[in-house]
Amino acid sequence: MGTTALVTLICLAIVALVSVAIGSLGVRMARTTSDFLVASRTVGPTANAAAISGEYLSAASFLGVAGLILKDGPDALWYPVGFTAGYLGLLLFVAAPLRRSGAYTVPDFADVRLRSVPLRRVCTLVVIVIGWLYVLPQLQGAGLTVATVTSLPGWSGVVSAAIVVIASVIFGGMRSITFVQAFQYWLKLTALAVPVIFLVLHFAGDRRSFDRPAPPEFPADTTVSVQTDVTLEVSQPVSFSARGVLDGRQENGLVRWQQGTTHTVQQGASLTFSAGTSVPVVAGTPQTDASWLTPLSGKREYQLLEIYSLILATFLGTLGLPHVLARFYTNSDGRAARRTTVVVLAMLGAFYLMPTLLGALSRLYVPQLLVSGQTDAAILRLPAAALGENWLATALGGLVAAGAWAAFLSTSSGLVVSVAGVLFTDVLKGRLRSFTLATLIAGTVPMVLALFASRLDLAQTVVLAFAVAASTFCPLLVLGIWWRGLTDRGAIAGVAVGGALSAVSVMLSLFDVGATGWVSALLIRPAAISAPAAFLTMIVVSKLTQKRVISDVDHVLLRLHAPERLGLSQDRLPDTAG
Amino acid sequence: MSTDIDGPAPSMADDSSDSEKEPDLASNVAPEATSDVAPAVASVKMRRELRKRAAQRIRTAGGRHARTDLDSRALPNDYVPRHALSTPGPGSTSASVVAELAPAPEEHFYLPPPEPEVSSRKRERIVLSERRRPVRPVRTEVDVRELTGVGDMLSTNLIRSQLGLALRVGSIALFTLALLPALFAVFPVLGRLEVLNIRLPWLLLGALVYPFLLALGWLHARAAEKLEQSFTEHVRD
Repeated sequence: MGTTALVTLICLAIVALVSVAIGSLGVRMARTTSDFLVASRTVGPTANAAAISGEYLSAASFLGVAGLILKDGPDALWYPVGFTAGYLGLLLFVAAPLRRSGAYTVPDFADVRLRSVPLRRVCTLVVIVIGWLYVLPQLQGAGLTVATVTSLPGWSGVVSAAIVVIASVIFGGMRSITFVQAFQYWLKLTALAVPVIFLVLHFAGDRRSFDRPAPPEFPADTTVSVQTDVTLEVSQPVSFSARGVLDGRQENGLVRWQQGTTHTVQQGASLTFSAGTSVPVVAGTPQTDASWLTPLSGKREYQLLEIYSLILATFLGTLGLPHVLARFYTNSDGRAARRTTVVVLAMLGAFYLMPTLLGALSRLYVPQLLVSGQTDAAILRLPAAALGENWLATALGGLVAAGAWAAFLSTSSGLVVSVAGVLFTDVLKGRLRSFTLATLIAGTVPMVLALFASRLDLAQTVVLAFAVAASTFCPLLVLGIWWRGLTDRGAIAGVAVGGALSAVSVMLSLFDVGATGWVSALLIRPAAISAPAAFLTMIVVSKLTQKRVISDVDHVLLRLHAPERLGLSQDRLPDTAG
Repeated sequence: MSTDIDGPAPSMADDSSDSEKEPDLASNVAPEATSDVAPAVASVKMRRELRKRAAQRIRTAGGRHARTDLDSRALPNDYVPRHALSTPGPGSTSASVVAELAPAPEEHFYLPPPEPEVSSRKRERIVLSERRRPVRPVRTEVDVRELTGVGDMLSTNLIRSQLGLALRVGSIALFTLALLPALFAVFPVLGRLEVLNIRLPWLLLGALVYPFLLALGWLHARAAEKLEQSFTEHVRD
């Protein structure tokens, strides 16, 4: 293990220790729910927005977006655009009414709006599914970070990250500590902004351009070790020395691949290219730099369908994410909730400029990731690859790794708190010490999943969770807030239909069933079908069961929409004053 | 403004940032009398409709709670006496408990004091009122809480206009976003166009889309606040 690895490991350890320490300190600072509530009233929209952004920007945003840009070019820009546009959807349809409902989670909202115990149970189940789906790529990202910056195996990163998250949640969690999460946002922004400054300066002195009619070239002699099976396309003849199984044959020595051929490389192979060789690129992605620069240039079919489904999933899905909704309760009233969301839009926009720039630069400096397919590691490898092995690159690398680790820890602990919360209140009612037990379950299950599920790109796995949220909680919240005709039966039917459609396709994609054509596009991006299906089911079944509309529905709707000044809505905890 | 003659000024709640001043007590006494000096923000049309309905209600002479204009949605039993209204919101458990304890007859018995004249008895009560006693809600406020007559119309109107606003802004955003990939697919030359030395798709999706979303969000938040403001003003005067 070199000095770089050691420095980075120390950075990761510091971040982990600090989050556990702050978690336990937070318990002492905010002991009761009403402490939390009172404290929440002194927090302004800007701090609140930073906290929401801090919890929201996960490993997928931090690492995954740049990796996808390295591979797919402008088509990958739809991921950060969607992740941001989701907050516009949240602002338009949910922010203020949800705050006024006083609900802390979607099951709470279901209780307030429809007063149905079965619906509450169904919602609990969906919170758990979404939470685990979202934690899964975070843990995989942690494993990848550890494996990339050190020579340790990936599972050690997954397991240690899971332990840190479980420990920090048990010792008090990261919830209710708005300023810690707000700090997380600025930490992540800095961890990317500082490398961006150095790398853009470096790039300005570089004579190379993106616009070349050829594949990227290895900037130096490079050895690529392939950790998952990949299929590569060759658009310029390459020769390299290989050790491992290529095209089903054991190779040990010089290999030459002809122009226009496709080859498979098995896990464990190690390929050594000399400087200046053209990079063979993962099949289905743009081959030459010139085509990478233009949109819709990959060879995957139904790209448009995928993009539209992605836009829909993120636009509608953000407003159903449990860790995001819980944060909205910290706003003092509905108006503040709206203002907070506007600030979140600004903060996310500022943040996503960084991974976009870094992703584009990594096409020049770390093209070897296109061979191994591990493009998620792009940002982690970029400083050393661009600036060379010196103290500056080591420091920047450590900063980026610490930021990634923080990104993943804050999001996962928020999610594990949400999942453990519903497990505790709705599933494991009244057992001794069951919050600890609930946290253990909430953290262990995704850890096991992360060790065994096939690894998609981080941002893609996260979008699966968005799709489930868009097909379940989005119709429930939107119709519940804006339509007086929603009934409990209709809500249950809609959540069940949308949840089943999206969850089944998510499972099929995660365990890699070999589907092709538009079926495979819809399996990995189910929202285009499942979200409209859920809306439709909810409306039709509600119309059929119109008698079950709760009797004081107009009062409930008024409470959600009338300004607090009129005193129509009540917080969960009454004001102690007066 | 303080109406206390003796004793210290009423204590204002100081913990919550959004705590309102107590509503103007003069308007409490005679809601109709102050309606002419209403802020200009309120739409003229809405105001006219409100007046019409108020006049109609006075004509039908059933008092505030004569629910002649109500359809079957309204509960016959959700009547809560005015003085019990200060804390529990409508639909809250306490309100329904009150309703259960005192099942209301078919026709509501409660008749408001004669409306237009300013009775001296009332004024006396305000002068001597205890500091802690919550201020009586304005009539429209009661209407809104109970969703009778004008209140029902006001709240339906609020929800409709907020929904219309959200749908308008949402469709602008979704339409613009959805148009881009289609344009890039139909006119590939757009994807190769360079603006400011940057390819157009990168410039649009990598940078410009964020200020666009932010501007939409900001406009929506402002417009939604205005709608709420005008709702509050209608309710308060």
